Amino acid sequence: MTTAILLCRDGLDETLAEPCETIIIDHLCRHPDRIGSAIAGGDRLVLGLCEGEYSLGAVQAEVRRAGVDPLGVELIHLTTIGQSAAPLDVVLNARIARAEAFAGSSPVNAKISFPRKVSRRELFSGPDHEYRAAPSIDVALCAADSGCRACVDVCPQEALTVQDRQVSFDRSVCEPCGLCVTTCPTGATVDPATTTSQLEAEIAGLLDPSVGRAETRSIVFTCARGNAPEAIPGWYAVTVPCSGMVRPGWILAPLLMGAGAVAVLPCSESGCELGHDARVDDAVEFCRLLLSSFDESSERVMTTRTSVVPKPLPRVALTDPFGPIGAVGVMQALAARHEEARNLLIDHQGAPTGIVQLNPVTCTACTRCVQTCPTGALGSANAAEHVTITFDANLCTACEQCTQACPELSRRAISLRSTTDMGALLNGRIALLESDTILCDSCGKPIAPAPLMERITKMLGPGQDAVRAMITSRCVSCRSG
Amino acid sequence: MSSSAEIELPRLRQGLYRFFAVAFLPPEAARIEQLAAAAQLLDDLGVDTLAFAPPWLEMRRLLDNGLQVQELETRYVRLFESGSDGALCPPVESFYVSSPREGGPALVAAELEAAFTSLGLCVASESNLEPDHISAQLELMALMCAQEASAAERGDLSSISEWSHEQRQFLDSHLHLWVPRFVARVRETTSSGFYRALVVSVGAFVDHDRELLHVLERRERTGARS
Repeated sequence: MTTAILLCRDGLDETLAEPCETIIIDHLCRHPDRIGSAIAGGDRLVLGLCEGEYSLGAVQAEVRRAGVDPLGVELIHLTTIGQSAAPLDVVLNARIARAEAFAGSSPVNAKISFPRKVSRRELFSGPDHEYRAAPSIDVALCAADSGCRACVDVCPQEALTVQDRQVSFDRSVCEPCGLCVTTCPTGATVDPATTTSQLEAEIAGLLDPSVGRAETRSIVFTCARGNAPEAIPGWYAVTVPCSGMVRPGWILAPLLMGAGAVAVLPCSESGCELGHDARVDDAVEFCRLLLSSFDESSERVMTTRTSVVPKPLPRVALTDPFGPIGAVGVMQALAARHEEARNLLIDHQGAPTGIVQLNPVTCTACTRCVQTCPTGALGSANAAEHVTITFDANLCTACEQCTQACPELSRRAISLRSTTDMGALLNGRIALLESDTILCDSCGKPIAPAPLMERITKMLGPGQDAVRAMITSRCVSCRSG
Repeated sequence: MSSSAEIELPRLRQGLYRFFAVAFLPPEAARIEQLAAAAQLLDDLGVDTLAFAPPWLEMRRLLDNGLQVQELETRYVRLFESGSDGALCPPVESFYVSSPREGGPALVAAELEAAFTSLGLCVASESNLEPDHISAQLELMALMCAQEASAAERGDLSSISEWSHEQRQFLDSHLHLWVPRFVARVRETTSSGFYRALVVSVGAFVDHDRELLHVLERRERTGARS
């Protein structure tokens, strides 16, 4: 993999040092046709341009013509960097890492749009259409066939629907906000321009102490719909499609990667234009609660940046911290620093994990919840004469698919709390419910869990004794024989 | 006054629809040569900068590598016309969207005949094409694009809108309904070759074009395109 770094000379004022291994091109913003020859066989690209001076559509066209996927191009606004306190070498280091973590996209990920802001060039020629990244669904990972509808339920534009137990996606109505991506419990829904690997690479690059000056660095998640945030020394921006998609694990992980603090900003001062402010507030509030429970400063997490931040925590090696269940590893790493963490229990709607409970009186052990659970947090073990339903809090993302699938929900057979219970996380898989199994009088094979059979026979009503006797004594195969 | 983009885009799309319509006709040496030349022309007009460029360029690579007409004929018949048990992947709408028992193919054909007639057209009898054949449907789209481009050249904004709307409706009601299933079937049936690349490419183009028309129509509704 080769990453080309092209910068427009017009954006490099005297405050910006010219980084090495970059190609500086005169008037690149006005002459995107110069991109192709400069890339010279590179398959990843970092472009430094001047905000408002180029047409994104024209740049993307030239990039694609040069054989590079435009959705993987890292675009830096040099004029913004010049005004901000973020040194170019740190930003470049992070964007190169992010570009190299790009895994490619397909035509279905390219959403056509027209620019909101028209560049000077476009004032005369009319705007070119441009492409924004839209998510797609990896059918091999998608749990829709077992009943999961997490992405469908969360999409504010109703761009996702389920047909024939497959998720169908209408790109033309999608306003990429990433909620489906961070809500998907299995990681099947992916925005190729904002993958968890790219985020991890970019944040690690921004916090790399070997690049740039010695300072306490902090991370600010900003919304792609908004303007670049005002410059505050030490704060480095990571842009996401919508701040509403930022989950607690994303906020906490940078704190263990070397950040002093993490902020999540909405797209404007009046809040999220897609109405996701509550999600941001919930995630931030949960993280602050968790940190204060661990005797860490809750001032490490915020929605309005401060110029003074706490010193960074010691760095910890994390595995896939931005993945669907990455928050668990991050919280466990934080908990490892505190002996009393085992007793921590936070009930909060912003919690990234959940606790499922089954009501032994009304649960029929039908295992619909197990079949629907997209992450395998709920499981079952079938022995000859009984069935055990198990639960592993480490795998639960509180997606609510189990409660929606439960046929006895009206009798409160199952409940799910958005809760982070460190004890449950440390316990791993536990038995939630054990039930006897009714066996066939003829062949000895299981017919059904006893509570389920009891429920069915009750529903049969009076005068059905013959049917009742048959279904409780013979399995389906032996009934016909 | 119309912008150059309003004239160029429908002309480019017209070219693409015509290209694909011809590419799905039975292979002949002269036709393959014409397709290769047309593909180069379309790239010069900017097709290689659009989001469906990767499958398009793969198809172009095979086209430029010199295709053997005899081999193409064999593959064409096997995939699209008839094999011992019928065509593996018939390029006709009625195969994918209707049930033969309910008289579906006839209904689809009648609906399409009506669409052609409303534009003053019919599928020429000597072409042996059913009205729901992919070539006929793509040709109809090409014609509507040409009408839109002509309206743009005249500066007739209401006609531009009407033709654009007609195209979107036709895509939504026909090509968008069955081409993705056709593509999936061809992908399952054959793992390589020109016709696989052609089908994947037309699928990506139809998907791209439908979205483009939806976006343009939405812009028009909100008054952004004038």
